[in-house]
Amino acid sequence: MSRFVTTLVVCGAVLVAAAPGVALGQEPPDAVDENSGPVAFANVASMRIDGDGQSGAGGSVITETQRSPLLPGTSTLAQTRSALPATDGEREAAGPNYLLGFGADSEVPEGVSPREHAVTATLRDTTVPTATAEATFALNDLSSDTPVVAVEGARSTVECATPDAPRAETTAERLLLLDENGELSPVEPPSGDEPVTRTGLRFGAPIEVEGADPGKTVSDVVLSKVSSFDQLVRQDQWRDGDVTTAAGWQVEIVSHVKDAEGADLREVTTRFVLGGVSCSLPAGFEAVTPGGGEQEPARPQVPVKIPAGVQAAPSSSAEPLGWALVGGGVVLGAAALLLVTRRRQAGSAADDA
Amino acid sequence: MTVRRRGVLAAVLGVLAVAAVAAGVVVLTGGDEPVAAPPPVSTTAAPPPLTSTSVSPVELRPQSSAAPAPRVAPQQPGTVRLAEGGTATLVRKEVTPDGTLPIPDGLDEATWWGAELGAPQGVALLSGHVNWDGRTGPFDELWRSRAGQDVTVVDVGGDRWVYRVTDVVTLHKNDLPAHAERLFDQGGEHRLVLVTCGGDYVGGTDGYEDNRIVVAELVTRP
Repeated sequence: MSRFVTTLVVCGAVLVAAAPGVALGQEPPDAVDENSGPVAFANVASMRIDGDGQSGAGGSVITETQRSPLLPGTSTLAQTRSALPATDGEREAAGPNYLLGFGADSEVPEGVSPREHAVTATLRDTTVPTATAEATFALNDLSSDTPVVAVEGARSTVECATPDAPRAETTAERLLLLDENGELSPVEPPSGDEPVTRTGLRFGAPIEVEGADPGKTVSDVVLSKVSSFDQLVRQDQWRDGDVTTAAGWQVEIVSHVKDAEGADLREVTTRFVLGGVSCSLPAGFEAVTPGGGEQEPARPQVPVKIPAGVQAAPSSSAEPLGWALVGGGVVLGAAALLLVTRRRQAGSAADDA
Repeated sequence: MTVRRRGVLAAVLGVLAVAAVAAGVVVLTGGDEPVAAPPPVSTTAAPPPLTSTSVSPVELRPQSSAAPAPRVAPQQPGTVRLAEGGTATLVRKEVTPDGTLPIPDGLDEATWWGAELGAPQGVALLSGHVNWDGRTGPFDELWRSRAGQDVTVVDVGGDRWVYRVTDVVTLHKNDLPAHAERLFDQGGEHRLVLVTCGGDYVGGTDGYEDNRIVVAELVTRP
């Protein structure tokens, strides 16, 4: 049922290969290498559903991922993306029951303030890649009208300044999780790699399961921090490098779907990555020093001169005629001068006579 | 020969000499003038606004594993057929460091730069000579283009992509850099943009002083 549609969009289309590592003190490169140079990625939200082998399970949705430009600059996610799923295609992949909001107008639980997200991937003037994702997330189970989790003021950031010290950080102002009373209640953020877990919560799977009894179905929620690149849910073009670090929040939901008699029908695992970011460097990378050398003018990224006009043949057929006319003119002029000179001489002789 | 007759003959030869030299200079300096130059055109101060939906220079498209309708992935263009039937084979070119888009010599080939056919974002730019060595080229018909006309591009796999003209703009070449980012935006809405030259002939590396720019939107994909 699935078909992946993935396209990498590159501004300018002028991809000038540069040495993967740029030595200190050299002039800034025109562009870093697209395939092996320093790069950062930032994604506001993605999700994957893993079934238990039964048909109809499985699917993923990955929102627009920002990639750092090949020249110094920043790529920023538009505010128009504020939910997952957001389209019919995404709803078909994600199922009809879950809705993750992360925009200024998103529906959030009482007491939580929605805000605009800030999702950026940057290549600094030094060619150091960085990425940051800031947002407030609210996940709701629409089938039971249940708020499942809210992450207020989530912030994940990575910076790859040197190969030996890439930096990653995942924080949040406040975490709220569904509790056994069906209410959102605050939880302490995970410490280190230790996740926060709540089990037996009254809500179901993101997809419809035939014969499921919502009254019997329960789900477990595990909230943790992303600690490796492989934990990210990524497009194919979202690459790593010789040195890579990643950050973000991960919400894993295991739904135990049961029928009216309480018998297990199936188990559905849904994994969200919120604010997934990464940055990568080639081995031996060294940041450049801005202004360390004479700056060249910025290279145009789109055509600014299109000489689609006439192009004369290398040797114009009119050229010999032109030179013949000039030469003839010179000869005629010389003859005229000669006649004038003789006329004056003749005139002088007549006067003398 | 009398003195008077010599004077008259010298004057005639002088006039002829001046005329011959002047004609020679005109021929030598004006010999590149095309046989069939496009008509002079008025230059618009600014092109009409084009829709641009994104300022992000680099973005990976959203991806879902349950896309409902299969679609042909973006393709590299192979040939273009303009509304009046002019055709050219498309050759991939990249922008030089000074921002110049190279155009293949002759009239059979035209440049393709930028996005692929049907790309989710970005302009696919096609540009061909308006004429070459005294012959009029297929892109000359851009000077007669109007909104609503169809431009067909056949990709390298033989499939047809139809774009419909939405905007026609004439820009003085000096004004192109100021509008190039918007006209040829690789982060905005996907469009087909066709470009040739025309207007007054000024010679040198510019040739003509204007660019004719035709913008089209995708209406039919394979």
